Amino acid sequence: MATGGTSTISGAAGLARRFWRHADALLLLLLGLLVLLGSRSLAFGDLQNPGPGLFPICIAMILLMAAAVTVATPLHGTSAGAETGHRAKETLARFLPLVGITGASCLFALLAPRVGLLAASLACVLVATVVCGNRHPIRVLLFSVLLALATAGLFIEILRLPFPYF
Amino acid sequence: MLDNLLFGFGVALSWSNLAFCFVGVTAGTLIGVLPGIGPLAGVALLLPLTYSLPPIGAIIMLAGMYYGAQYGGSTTSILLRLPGDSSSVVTALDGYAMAQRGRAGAALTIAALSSFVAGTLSTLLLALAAPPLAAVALSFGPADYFSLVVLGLIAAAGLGHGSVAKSVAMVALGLLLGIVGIDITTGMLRFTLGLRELEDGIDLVSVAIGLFGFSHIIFSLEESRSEQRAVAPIHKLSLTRQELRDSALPTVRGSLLGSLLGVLPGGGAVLSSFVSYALEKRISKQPDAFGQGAAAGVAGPESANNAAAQTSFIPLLTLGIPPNAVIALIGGAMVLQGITPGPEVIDKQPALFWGVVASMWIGNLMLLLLNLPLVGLWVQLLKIPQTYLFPAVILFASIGVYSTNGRAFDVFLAAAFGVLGYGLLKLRFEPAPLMLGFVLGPLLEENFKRALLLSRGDLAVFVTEPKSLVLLGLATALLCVFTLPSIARRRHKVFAESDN
Repeated sequence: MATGGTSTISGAAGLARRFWRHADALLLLLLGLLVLLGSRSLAFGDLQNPGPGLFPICIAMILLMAAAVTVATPLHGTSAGAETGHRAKETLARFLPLVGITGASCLFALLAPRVGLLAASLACVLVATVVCGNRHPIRVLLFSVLLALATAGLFIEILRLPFPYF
Repeated sequence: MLDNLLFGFGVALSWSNLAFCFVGVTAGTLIGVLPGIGPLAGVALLLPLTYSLPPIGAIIMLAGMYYGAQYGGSTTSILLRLPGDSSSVVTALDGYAMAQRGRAGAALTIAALSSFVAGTLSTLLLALAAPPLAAVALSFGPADYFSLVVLGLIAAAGLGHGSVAKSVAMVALGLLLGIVGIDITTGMLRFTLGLRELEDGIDLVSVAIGLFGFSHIIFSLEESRSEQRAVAPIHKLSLTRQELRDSALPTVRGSLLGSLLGVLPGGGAVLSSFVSYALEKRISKQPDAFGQGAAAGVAGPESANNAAAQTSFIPLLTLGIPPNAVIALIGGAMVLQGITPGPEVIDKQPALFWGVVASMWIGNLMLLLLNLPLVGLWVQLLKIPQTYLFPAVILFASIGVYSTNGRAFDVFLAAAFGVLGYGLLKLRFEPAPLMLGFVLGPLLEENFKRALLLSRGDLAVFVTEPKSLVLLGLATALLCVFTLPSIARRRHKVFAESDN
């Protein structure tokens, strides 16, 4: 039983490794197919009168060819795909910068039209500072307030952008 | 030409334009000094600041940032063996070795002086070469333009980092993103996913900030290293006679080489510095001295990267074709300011063209003063922890994107491009060709369709027009060269070395 379990795990790991090894080619294949699919509703036209679908189809073909070459190229084995597989498995903390940085930016976008530039900036910096590894509450707060004030002041007072403070 | 240059100096020496130039070169030096934020991310971040500026001031500032970053990058290369951006990677080899021998000040002086000489020579070249090239460009038809763009995109893909196939795919993805929105000939919507915000196309600033700002910050945080490197002490900035002799000719050669490679599609500061180093090592009587602190190993690449940064404006201002991704962004900034980059800029916007050319020389002079006496200040900036630096960049980027159209959607889009850029970096795709494809996509499609319309559907138009035939021939030859196994192995080796 134990042997079977181990082989199942190693089989799954091998599959994951193979997936990440070819992730770049798979991404290109997926993109190519999506573009082909998206171009279906666009008229192809003819050479004398090219339609809006002609150019996207050419792009899809390039993407699919690039996917094929990426699979076939000998350098492919040295790509970061396999590394990514290992890393992705490590911990969820790996994704903290990805989620945190984009989240801080999205939070700013959500808040800015509702509560003005100052509060939105403050929220954005607070999240970003914590995500970047600063865990000292007073420093984080002080830095966030000062940066939000300075940046909002720069954009509103000096660059004269038409956004409210609050 | 002299009259035009004097006119340009008149424009560039106004107080406001001097201030814009100063802000640009200072920000450029800062971007160059700080590892992880390259000129591409820097220009993208600075772009929103230029919306409320007059067009000439905006372009002077962005140009200053690009060539200023080449200066700043050399400082950390020499003092810490930590290149601020890719074009300073080779400077670290001999610059840091000189610093280890107690000649850090001399290495910094060589880097600054050679960059200044290169800046002066390439400014002259820009003033000399641009007007005749613009006149030639006016005779280009749609087929010629299509072939020129194809050549530029293939060169950019081949000269980029990593696999050629992946770079070509990035160009294709950029072309696709560039055509999102209303098709100009039929008025049909393409790839808008039902979102009204995408009907006018994807915002350039969102793409640039997401791909080169957010994704690089995320990547840097993940790969963050806390090691502190010792800064080499700076004793004296003066050069010995031998050092002056050793760096004089490499500076001239580097300036000429960089000026030439900067103009070529796909060329730019990074390629020029690598080629210059290889050339100096090959023709040197003491090739073994390279890597051990050879003055020529600093002077050649530093002059080459600065010259290339400046002459890479020639294709943009004369043909309307950016040769690399940073210039593509600056071209985008021109469009946002209501100026169409191309052969008509010189005639219709002489104050802009000659003002920017003259500002480059003034900017180089400012950089000389900023980088030599104030070198200690720039080194101090390296001590700012990323826990404070990155949040400031993220906020600045978010407000910048938001202020473009006053829409939250653009910020969400930038965040999405940040995720995409991170994924691409993880899978070792080079995002720079994507940017070039994005900017050139509409131009490529428009000229392709116009050429076919004018030739009544005859595809042979692309090979019967002499200029188009030559350009397509060059593009095909380049593609063949890049895919040759021996060249592919060599590329792989060069990029592996630069990564280390």
